[in-house]
Amino acid sequence: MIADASKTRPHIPLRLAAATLVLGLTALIAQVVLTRELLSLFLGNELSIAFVLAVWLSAVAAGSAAGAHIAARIRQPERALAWSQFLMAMVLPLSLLIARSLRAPGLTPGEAWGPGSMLLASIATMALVCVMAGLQFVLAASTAARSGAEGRDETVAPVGYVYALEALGAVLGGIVFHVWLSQHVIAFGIVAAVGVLNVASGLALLWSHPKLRSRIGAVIIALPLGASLVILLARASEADLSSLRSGHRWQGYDVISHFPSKYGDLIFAARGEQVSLFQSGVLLWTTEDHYENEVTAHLPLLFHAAPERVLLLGDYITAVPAHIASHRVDVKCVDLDPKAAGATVRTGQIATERGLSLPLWWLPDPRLPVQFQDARRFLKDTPPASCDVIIASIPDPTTASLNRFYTREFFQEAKRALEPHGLLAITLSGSAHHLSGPVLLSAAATDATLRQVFPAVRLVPGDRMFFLASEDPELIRADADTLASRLRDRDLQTVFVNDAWLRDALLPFRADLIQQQLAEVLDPPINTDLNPISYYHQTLVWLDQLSPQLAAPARRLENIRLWWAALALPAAILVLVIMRGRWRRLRLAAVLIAIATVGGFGLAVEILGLLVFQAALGYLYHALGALIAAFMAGLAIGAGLLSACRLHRSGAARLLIAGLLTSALIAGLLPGLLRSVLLAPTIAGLVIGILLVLVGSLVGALFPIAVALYRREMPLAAAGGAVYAADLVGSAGAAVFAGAFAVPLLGVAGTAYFTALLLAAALVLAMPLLRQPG
Amino acid sequence: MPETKSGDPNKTAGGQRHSRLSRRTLLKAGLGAAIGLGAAGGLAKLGDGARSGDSPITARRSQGSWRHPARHFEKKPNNYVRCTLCPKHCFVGPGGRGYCEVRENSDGDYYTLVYGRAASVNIDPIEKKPLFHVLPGSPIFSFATAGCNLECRNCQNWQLSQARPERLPATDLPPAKLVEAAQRQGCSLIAGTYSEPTVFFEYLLDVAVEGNRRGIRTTMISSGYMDRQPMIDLCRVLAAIKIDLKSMRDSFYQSNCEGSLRPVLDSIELVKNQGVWLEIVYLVIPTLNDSEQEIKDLARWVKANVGVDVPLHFSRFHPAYRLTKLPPTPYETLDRCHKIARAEGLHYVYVGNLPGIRAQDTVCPKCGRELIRRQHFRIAENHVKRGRCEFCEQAIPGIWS
Repeated sequence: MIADASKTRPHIPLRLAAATLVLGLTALIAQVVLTRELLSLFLGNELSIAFVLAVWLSAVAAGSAAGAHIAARIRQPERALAWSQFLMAMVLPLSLLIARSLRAPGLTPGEAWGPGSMLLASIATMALVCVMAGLQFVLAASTAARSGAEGRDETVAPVGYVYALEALGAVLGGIVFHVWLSQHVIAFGIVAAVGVLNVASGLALLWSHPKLRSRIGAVIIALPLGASLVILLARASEADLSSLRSGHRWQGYDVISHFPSKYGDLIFAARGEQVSLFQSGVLLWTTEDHYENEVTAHLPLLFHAAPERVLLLGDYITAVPAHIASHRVDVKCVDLDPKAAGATVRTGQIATERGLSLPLWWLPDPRLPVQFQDARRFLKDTPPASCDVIIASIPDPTTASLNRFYTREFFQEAKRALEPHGLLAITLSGSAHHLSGPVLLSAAATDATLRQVFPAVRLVPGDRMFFLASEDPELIRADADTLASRLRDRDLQTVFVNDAWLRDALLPFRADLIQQQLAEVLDPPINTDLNPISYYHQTLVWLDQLSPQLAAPARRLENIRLWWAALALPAAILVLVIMRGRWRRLRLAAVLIAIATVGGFGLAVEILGLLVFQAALGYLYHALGALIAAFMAGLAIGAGLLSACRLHRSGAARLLIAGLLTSALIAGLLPGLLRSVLLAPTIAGLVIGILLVLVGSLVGALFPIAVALYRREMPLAAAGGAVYAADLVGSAGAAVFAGAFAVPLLGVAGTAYFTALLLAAALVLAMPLLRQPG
Repeated sequence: MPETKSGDPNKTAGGQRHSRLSRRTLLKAGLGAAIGLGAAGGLAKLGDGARSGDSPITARRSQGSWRHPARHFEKKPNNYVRCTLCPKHCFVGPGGRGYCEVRENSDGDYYTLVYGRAASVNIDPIEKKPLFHVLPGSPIFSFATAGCNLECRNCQNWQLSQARPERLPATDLPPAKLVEAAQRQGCSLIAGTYSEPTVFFEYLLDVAVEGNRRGIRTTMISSGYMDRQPMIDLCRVLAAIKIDLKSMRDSFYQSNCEGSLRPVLDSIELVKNQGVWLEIVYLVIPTLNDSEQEIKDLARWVKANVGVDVPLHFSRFHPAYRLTKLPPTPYETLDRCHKIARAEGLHYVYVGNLPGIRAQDTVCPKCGRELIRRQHFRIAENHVKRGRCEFCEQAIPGIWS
């Protein structure tokens, strides 16, 4: 028997269990809040998202590793944990303030942040919270170890339970944030509420302290701190606006309003009579985008001889729908965030109340038919041949989520919804006279992907390039004169789109040159849901602009091949040969490597699961939150179950090997499973949810196993801290490598196989654990 | 990673796989075809008649090198050189390159790496440059190479300006061929534009000389960040120069462009004094260079130093390159700039793309009548006849025939 469930009973006091839940909840919510703040500074593309996540995980790992180092020297871990919770309550709003007031040296106001500035900003914002979170885990583990299982050599239950409870806290935090906080409470309110929870938890811990002096001290600190946080909670909106207005980011702008939204906070800023809407820091529109609005609406519609039914994806709160309607067509809009429309109307009212002379004509027309949902989801449910023109006004594919609107599958869905003589228009940033480097690659991939679905594709060059695709080659062959004549016939009142503009925009000389540049890219990659290459191209564009030094190595990753991971296997064997006779040291390293690899595997499966879910069903905010919660719940279940068992050393080694083997098998089978999910989208949520619970359980179960193997070398809490750190380091690596590079370059299947090979190498390296210690 | 068709055997830096020669192939092919077919007619005809797929330029790849002796540098001890083309005055060691990345020291001699190496070729309406007082409504044959001697955070042509030449696909288009191509496309004007013509000085100079020989005028769309002597050299052969004056504050040039203000002001005065047609563009960037005082300073400086007849254009900023977190310039700001400059007494102040305001039209400073009515690249009316107002005979400065 390798594990005996009957002999281990948890001895974790209720106050510690509650405090640990609060730790998990705090860490999760702080992570989401601070990440959203940072991404609004960094204009989050996939690399910056992965980057911030990696900094978070690494900093927590550093805190945990530091905790492991000093764990034995902390005499009263419970007291330290309580005070750290008070400190956390103060640090959270402070970190938010830091994020708001960050100013990168050498950057012009309004300039995008490069990787170097991002690193410094992420550390400045998150380091305190993360290091404390890592440290708190060790303190909680240490407290649990002392209060429950001290002296029982073989059990790791206290640390395992702390891990499970922390994961459970994260599940709770995730649910609370996704369901309620993200939509109704502004960031300062969120951190204040979480702070109050931390103060209460710290007070509860100290209240049981035997010394009266400690209890009085706790009250003296907790009361004013709690009261301050309650005041902050009550006045969160004012604090929020005040911090935004005084921050460097909005220098020169009047921040009129700030609304929480699950899709990213909405900020309305004015300069003069112009109002601009930013979501997550990204400029969505300004009230004076007259040129862009005209072009977006009229150029595609003029290509169609007699459009009647037009579907507009995105751009609801702009003048684009009105311009489309001027063609006397039925227009239907699909936009993601319902909150944006209401927030826009409310901002108009606020402006009026404040006596600002903002024109209100930019408010969306309430009579326009609009559907608020993911556009891919909408298209899946759209009856075939029900549109003449689809205009997809979607931002560039800088993230995996946006990339879904540039894939073959999306184009197929659009084609199905179009009449045989219909037209799809999509846009991409580019140039009217020159394409090169990653911008060219991105355009070539989009062009090639469209051509796989539509027999006729035409590119209209410009700073915003238009790709027009149809089954009818005649439709997109129309020349400037034809379009100008339609412009006149339809009696359109345009300022910018006129005959001269059309002649310039459609100049064959220009179009041919750009088209020939595209043709120079041999075998351009096809962008698909499962091989989302275009967001990698956009990452390269971003690096080219902001950090050419990093762009070169990132570009070399284009050559990444699956067999690279296979090299890890002989490398592991080589290590075994070299380390012969030094098994103790190798065993220690093997445990940490195994747990880091499994941690990375867990995160990779999360990324892949969410990606495939979105491809199958669309971007469903609550469902995606539920999937993340499912993984965290799995972690808690796995860690909880295994912690309940008395783990013998040899048994633990066999369990670790079995866990690694199972992980590798799951990773190997993952591509087939995920492909099947795409074929049966109705059960996608269920299947991916079960998968994430299972993988979470596996990752969670391996934690107490690894601690059991490691604890011979150090105290239980320290062992827990070290293993926890390794888990997080592996996750951080996966966040950057899998999220930003492996998925677009190797595809979903390649990334899964890559992970399987790394797990196999970790398995080989862990084999000496089966040997009895000499 | 996809590869290019041409399989360029030449070494390319930075792992760039797109062969410059393959790009040259296509452009040369188009040029050859255009010449061979005797494609005639103006831009309108080209716009209407050319079929998609017919390459306007042309055929085979040149195996020649683009390296060409540079002008305006000083030899220094130990094979070092001091570049005297622009105010940066790069001190370049053997094998090194200047800040612009397109001029290289080879054993104490200085070379340009972009002579005849056109990375972008196009035909634009002249209103797009903008040169409002030069043959309104004309198509202008535009070309550019890689490189720039500044790094403006808002550069719309960053793909060209911030690249090393070997990283960009380019066409072998020496001056004679370029002028020939312009002629074949029915263009009577050529512009060195998009990136920064300062860094392809020798190329532009020879294009202008060749153009003048064939009756085609050459213009330059520049930041004006150039030393005095090279600017004088260009003024001798160019017909018109448009200079982007980016701010009236040196601090802006330092923080946003890695340059300085004084040389640009000097260039503007020099161009005016040399008698070359000059227009000035000021890109109004919200919060960075749009204060009322700065616009007043600008208008007063223009009036005092180059005169009220030099057209001043205010352009609208759009987020680009690194400056992506600022919204476009509010129309109200542009309108205010226009009013300030007019109030200071400038005769020809323009604002592009401003709906509802006739700030892109040319108005006679004497009789106040509308002379040229522009509708976003379209010339709706033109009442300038033989360089004079059709209504009151007031001389309107510019190039009209």
